[in-house]
Amino acid sequence: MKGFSVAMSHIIFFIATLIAVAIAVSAISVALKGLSYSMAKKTQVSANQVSTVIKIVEGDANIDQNLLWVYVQNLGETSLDVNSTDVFVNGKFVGSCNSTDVTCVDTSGNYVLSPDEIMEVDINYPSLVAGSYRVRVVTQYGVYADYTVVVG
Amino acid sequence: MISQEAIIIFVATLLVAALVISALYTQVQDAANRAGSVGVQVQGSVSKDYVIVSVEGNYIYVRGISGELNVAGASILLNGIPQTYTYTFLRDRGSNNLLDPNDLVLFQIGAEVNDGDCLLIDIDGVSTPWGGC
Repeated sequence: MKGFSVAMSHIIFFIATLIAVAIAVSAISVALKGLSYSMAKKTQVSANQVSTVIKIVEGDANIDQNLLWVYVQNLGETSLDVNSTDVFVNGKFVGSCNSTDVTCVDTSGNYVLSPDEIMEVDINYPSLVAGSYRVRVVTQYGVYADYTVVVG
Repeated sequence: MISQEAIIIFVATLLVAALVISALYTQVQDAANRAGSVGVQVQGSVSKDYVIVSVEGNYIYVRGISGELNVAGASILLNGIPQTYTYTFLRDRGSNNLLDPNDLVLFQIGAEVNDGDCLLIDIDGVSTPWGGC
């Protein structure tokens, strides 16, 4: 009878230990899963940023029309959403593509700037006078290109 | 009657398990902390990321890339000096005052940022340096 109770107590302690360890391992496992998922998303974002390359290949202006324009080429491997493109002039935000002051037209006309494709960006810039204008075009992944348009 | 031997074995097993789990947990926390500084958060399984897209004078433009960032608690250091700021959402697609992907927020700080200055922004625990840091 005594031998039986000793064996039972061993079994109870063993099960209690197993439960305690299982709870702890489960908590760590949840944390690891979260970290793994987050890292995968971060890797995807970083991959998109690294694969995105744009270049402003040409730019010019028309003082009479208060208009600046640049041509942007996608030299990377990602396809870019035209309407998620932002435009800055001299460091100040002018607008997003196809908003009030910025019109963007990609050559295929489907609002997606595919690799190697070129897009025209027209910027309505009131009171345009002679001088230098730094144009920055920012893609949806935060990758940007600069170009200085000299007016007059 | 529980034998003394059983209690010793139980306590010893618990101690060993606690040591192993503690070591594992420390490593997980360490990995999480390292990930946090590059825009990865464990809680809620989200990746938070943003980019400083333009800095001009005392204007700083920040664009959301992934996740949702709480802009209200941001801290901005210019050459190590904390800056007071105001912020305006130029684009807030969720209309939630959080920096979502593609959102654009303008920070206006008290001092002007010049070439070579070190600007350090922390939004929702995600730090991003700009300039000569």
